[in-house]
Amino acid sequence: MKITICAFLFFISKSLCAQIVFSGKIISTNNQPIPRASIVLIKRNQLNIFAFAISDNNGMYKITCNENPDSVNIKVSAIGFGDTIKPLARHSQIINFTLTEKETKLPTVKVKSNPVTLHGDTTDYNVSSFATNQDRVIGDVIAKLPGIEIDPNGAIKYNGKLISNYYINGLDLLENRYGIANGNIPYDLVDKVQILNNHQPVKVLDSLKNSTNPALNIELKKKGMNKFIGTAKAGAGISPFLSDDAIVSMKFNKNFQFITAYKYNNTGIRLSNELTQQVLIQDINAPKPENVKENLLSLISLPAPILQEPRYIFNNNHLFHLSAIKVLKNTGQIKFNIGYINDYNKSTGSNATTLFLPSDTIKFIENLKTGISTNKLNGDFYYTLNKRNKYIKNASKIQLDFNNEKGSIENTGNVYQNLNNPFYQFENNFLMLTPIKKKLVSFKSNTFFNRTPQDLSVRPGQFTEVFNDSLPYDQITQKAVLNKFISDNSVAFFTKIGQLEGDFDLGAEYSYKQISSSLTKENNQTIYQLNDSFQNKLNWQNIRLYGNANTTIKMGEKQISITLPIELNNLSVNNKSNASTHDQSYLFFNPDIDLHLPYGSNFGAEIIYSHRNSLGNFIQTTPGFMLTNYRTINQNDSLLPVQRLNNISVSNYYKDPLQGLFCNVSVSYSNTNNNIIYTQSYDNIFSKTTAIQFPNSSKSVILSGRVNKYFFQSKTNIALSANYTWNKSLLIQQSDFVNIFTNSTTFSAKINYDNLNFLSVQNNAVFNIFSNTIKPFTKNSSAFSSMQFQEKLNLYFFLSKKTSLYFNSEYYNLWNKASGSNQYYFGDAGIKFTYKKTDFELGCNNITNNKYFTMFSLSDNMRQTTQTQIRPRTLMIKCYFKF
Amino acid sequence: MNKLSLVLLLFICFNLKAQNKTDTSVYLCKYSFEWQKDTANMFSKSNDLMYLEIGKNSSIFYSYYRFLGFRNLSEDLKMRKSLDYIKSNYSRYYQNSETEIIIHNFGKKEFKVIDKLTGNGVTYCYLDSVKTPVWTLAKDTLTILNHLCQMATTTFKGRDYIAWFAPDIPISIGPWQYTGLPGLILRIHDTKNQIWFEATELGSTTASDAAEIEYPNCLQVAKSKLRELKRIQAEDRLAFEKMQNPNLTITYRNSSGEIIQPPHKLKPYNPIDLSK
Repeated sequence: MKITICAFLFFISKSLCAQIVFSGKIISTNNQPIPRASIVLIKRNQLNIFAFAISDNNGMYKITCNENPDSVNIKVSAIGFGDTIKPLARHSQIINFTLTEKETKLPTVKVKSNPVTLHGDTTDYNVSSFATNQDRVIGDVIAKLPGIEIDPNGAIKYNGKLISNYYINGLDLLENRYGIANGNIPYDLVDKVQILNNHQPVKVLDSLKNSTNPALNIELKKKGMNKFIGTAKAGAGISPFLSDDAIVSMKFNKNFQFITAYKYNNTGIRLSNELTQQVLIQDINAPKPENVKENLLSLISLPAPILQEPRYIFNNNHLFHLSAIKVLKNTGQIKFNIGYINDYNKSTGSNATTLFLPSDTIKFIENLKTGISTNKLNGDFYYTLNKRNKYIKNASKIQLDFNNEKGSIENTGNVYQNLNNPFYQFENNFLMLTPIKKKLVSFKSNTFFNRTPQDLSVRPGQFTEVFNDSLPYDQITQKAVLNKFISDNSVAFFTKIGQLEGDFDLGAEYSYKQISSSLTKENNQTIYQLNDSFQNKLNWQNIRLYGNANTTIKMGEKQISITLPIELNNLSVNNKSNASTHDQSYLFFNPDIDLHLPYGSNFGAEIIYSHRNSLGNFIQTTPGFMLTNYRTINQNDSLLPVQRLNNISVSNYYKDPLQGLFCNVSVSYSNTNNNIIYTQSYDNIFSKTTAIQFPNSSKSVILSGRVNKYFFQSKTNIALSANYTWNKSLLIQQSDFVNIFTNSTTFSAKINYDNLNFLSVQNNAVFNIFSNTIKPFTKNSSAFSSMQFQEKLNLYFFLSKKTSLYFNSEYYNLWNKASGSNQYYFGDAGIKFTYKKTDFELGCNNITNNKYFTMFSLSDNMRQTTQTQIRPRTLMIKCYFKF
Repeated sequence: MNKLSLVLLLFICFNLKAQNKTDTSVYLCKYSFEWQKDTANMFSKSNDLMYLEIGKNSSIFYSYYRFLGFRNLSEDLKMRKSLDYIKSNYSRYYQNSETEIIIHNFGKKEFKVIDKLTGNGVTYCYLDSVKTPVWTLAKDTLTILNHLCQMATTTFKGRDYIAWFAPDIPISIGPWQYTGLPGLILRIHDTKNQIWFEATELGSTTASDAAEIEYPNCLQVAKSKLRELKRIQAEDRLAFEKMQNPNLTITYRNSSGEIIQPPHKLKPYNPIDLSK
């Protein structure tokens, strides 16, 4: 009892002691009360105010202090008077102040249009702070923004992470074809580029499912809104006759947006890049990996040189696209993206191939001429309703490709190859999230059908010993048709209990795949169907039943997500060639663990572990022989590939947008166990691949890091990155087991310097070392390596506001242990000027008139030296105007 | 009502009125103002440039774009510009800018809030006593416009706020109706980032024409009445029009000319003041 009373008294006295009150009056030297003066308490040697008061109309103030006022100053300040500071004693007291009048004038301080600002989770990049005169479209500026990089395929990453959405004034016009916006919207119409961190695009999931992904929004200026904007380009040049033309029109309203374009060129610009579907993370309508085109047959063609495409592509390319979005009265959105590509692409060159086999080395040279004609139409149609209480998205997509590839090859004799390579696909993806009895439920249905009917004809007939008793014959034709139908339907229930978010999916997927192939030979105008061993009639049917529990636990900013999917596959494979049926069930458990660990607002780490069991590609189970290209026959012995993958990755990031500093480092290790192995046997240039049952594993390690610093004062952007990849895999070659180890290390440095009014510099250097070691179990290992160094330097001299000169140089040094080094230098120069609102550009490309480019490439057990014909010196004049 | 007639309705009788110049020399703080008008749409943000002119005895807070829009239209009308010109240069008149003007009388500790509703062109005003938020000081600091600012948090009129004030500018006010910190507020935003004021320029100036803007002959109303009118105007323009003109009959027809029920859907409204 005594203790309780003592404790009570102690706390009373303590609190009484802590409640110290300072009061008093603030007057001027002429004894007038000073209202609205600030009276603040500051600990000595510190800047922070911990208590304060504002004097009333009579100059009176009162501060109640709850902290021990030892070593504390009281400071009084008022506009028009000098500051007064006094030390405080440790007890309540009345302190009066007399302030001396002092004229105060606020120095003018103006924000210099901050290049980067933060508004909560949103990072704003002021476009005018980063744009320079040589930029034309918003993609040019985005590529220069600190923390942002654009991959060669056009995908945008923010501090190493792919964006989840690309908006224009908040509307997702283009879905995953945002290259259209990047390549067409004039940068001067854009006010800001915004990165929306931790963006959850589905409003109904806003409070249920935490997102850690970034999205990008283009905020247009007023002059870019509510009116038609047209741009056009007309260009002509030599030699031969070159043309580069485009007409683009767009309009951006609050509830309606569209972009349309027609473009043509034969100058090497691959227009289909503009329609490339970019990978978006967290795409809830993400298509299955199966619904991309799988080539059963192919044309032997030249590998692409490491040069920029316009240097080596000989094309004749038309592009049309139209994208539009309309916001309906119920806030739903309808939109479509239609694109058409017509192209004819020629390439000429030679390829020297060396195959390193355990007992032999095979060398051969092919002089190749190919022509690829592309006719490709795609149409994507969407309906989206994104409300706080309901989400509906339906995407219907159609793709029609009518491609034809032709080529001639000279080695021991002339070989002509012709590949008809069309592809037709329809898909529909539906997702609805709606509350049922106060619980959020989702219904998802993804269905697609595609057909790939290919035929490859080779003249004269190859593999004479296999197909024609070693006698020459006229032609061999391989036909192959692949049909796929997949329908995946699921229902999910979402819940949130405190810091625990969960969703539980139940679903069923039906897959039906069909492959049929046949070989015919033609000799003396007679067509012969080859026997059953050269045919495939295979049906694959799989019913996958799955349940999936996703749980996310939040601990402050940190979160751990655990995914526990279990699936039962009931597979039935029917081989009509030999009237056999194979039924089997597979039970797979594929857990994922994802730890997201932010430390403060700038630093964070992510650790992901995943375990995947999967059925391999059904194409790899065809038992009949197939001529996959003019010198390869493929055969599998009907075994179904089953893979088990374990992957762990750790990534760390640091970002401070206001200081322009971004870093990310990641390491990942994966181990894949396979039940079958591929054996390759070679007879001169002809190869045969077969699959046999043999458990084996492949391993890989990937290390990557990037540092990006933007120096705002000097308008200099520096990005340094490094990547290291190590792979180990097992093959059987000529009946011998071989381990193949590959190492690849790449360093790159990118510098942009825009600080001078008269000069802009862009420099990009890449250094790559590749090595390859083949270790047969019974013989000595062999190793080869190569190095590549590339440097691209772009200089822009701004002679006046309307006139500029540019010089581009590219330097390549390619080294190979066997062949020594090859060096190439390319130079381009030109002048740009504006006359009566029209921009003109007169340029000369490939000034040094290089006509061939030779490069080395290494893969597994193969080394290739490729010489490609490139565009000679060209002269172009282009004019750009707006309407 | 088309846009042009709206402009004319708004500005035709809008003029400058010489007011008592109690403060000839003022501090001027310019704020960028970002306002998410639809809570369900993070992209529904509008931007404005707000001026806070601070005198010895009072301050005035208003949209500079609104003032500029008025000046541009006055000039265009004075120069007898054609209707086509006015139509095609509509963006010069900044119609979507903030209409509210707040005059803070320091001595009386009251705000005079003046607002001209675009829906009916009537200028309303009311007096409101200054309610000082209860601030909690934090230790975080940040430099804004070369002034070291300290963080403070509060809950005020239905929103949770984070403010950054400059102790070396001992003026205990800020944008809109935020007051009571021992330094000028240079940045203040709610924790949902729907309202965001940020100082972009600071300096001393003489009282400008801009500070003399006052809508003439304002109609005194209760604060609650004006708030209600503004809500209806924003959420349901049709109901607002009917309130102003009970005899007004509006018929909705579909594309086939058949009479249909008017769509009755409330538009989003997210005022700064969320208090009941």
